[in-house]
Amino acid sequence: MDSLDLQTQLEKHHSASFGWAISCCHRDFQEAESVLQNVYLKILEGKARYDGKSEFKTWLFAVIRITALDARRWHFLNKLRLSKYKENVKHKIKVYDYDEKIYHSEIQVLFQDLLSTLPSKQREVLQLVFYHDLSLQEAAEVMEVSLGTARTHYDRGKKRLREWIEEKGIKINESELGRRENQAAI
Amino acid sequence: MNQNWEDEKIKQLFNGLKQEDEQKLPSFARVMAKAREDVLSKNNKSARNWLFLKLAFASLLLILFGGSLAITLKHLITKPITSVNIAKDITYNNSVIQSISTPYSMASKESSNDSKSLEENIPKLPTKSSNKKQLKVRKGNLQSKALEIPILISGWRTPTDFLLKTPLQSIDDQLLKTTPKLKILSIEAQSIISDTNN
Repeated sequence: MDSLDLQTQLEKHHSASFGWAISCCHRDFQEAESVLQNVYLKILEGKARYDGKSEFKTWLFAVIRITALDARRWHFLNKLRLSKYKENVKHKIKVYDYDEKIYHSEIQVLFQDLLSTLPSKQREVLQLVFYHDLSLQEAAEVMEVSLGTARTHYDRGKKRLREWIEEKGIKINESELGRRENQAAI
Repeated sequence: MNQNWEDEKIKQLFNGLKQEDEQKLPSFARVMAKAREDVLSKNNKSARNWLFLKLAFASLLLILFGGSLAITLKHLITKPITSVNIAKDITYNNSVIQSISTPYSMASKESSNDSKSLEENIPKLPTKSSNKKQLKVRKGNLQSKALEIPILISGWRTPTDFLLKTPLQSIDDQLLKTTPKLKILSIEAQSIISDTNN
């Protein structure tokens, strides 16, 4: 695959890549952008090469996941070194979350909270299946686990979500959803 | 059917999340441009690192070459060990050995009522600089120095020469030349010594 094809493919999957990067970075948008930039850098430099064994999207998602993990490790080490600034960072995050709660629907905020409490593997598999419309096989490839393991995580995650929906008695506002779909179509 | 309805619910929740994410989606061109900038800066940085490494290696080679050249030149300028130097060294050592105080020599000096103290009698060891001066002989002086060899050889004395001499020469002569007598009193012997001293 030459560089032009590569760029076309990257542009095609840019939106999905960003969504996956956000999920891998625990909803940190700035970090997600940085991770995506690093992924493109890796691909441009030839450090990450597409061998054509799997779908391009699957391969790209795997690269994003690995890069995000590296970034998180690096941030963790940085946090250890800069622990004295931790309180300020926490304060900023709290303010940001509060602002977010004002402007977003309550259900979405609660749903994000639930996702953050889920184990990472369960969250990843649910995100890949429901958000990115990947099959379980593809999700397993991205997560670098077997299909059986992916299925187990998927079932457990979905059970947790089901319980949460029943517990909260959440009903999806279909009219609102319809409005959103219309906006997206426009 | 119920499961499908639940899946649909979950799907809708994720769709809401998707829409929120898309609002904050950075443009592809911007992310790509940043990545390209990073590639260029990385290349520049690596090029600079290479240049620095090359310079460091070149300077190291230069230092090594300069050092070896300096050592070689030093060897060429300074004279190698010759017979003249060896002869000079021998005479120098002789003079040092001869001037070393031994119990005998000390006794002889005391007996001759020498006013010099013991510390003054101890010869001073040659310093590094003086030793170097003595050892280094210029090429131009080689011929004149070569003439010194016979003189030095004729004036040479064995380093253990002083061992053959007794501190009190006159008494020794008397003692050695005369046959020893049995049952001689110590008082008499002392009187002989005092006589000779006077």
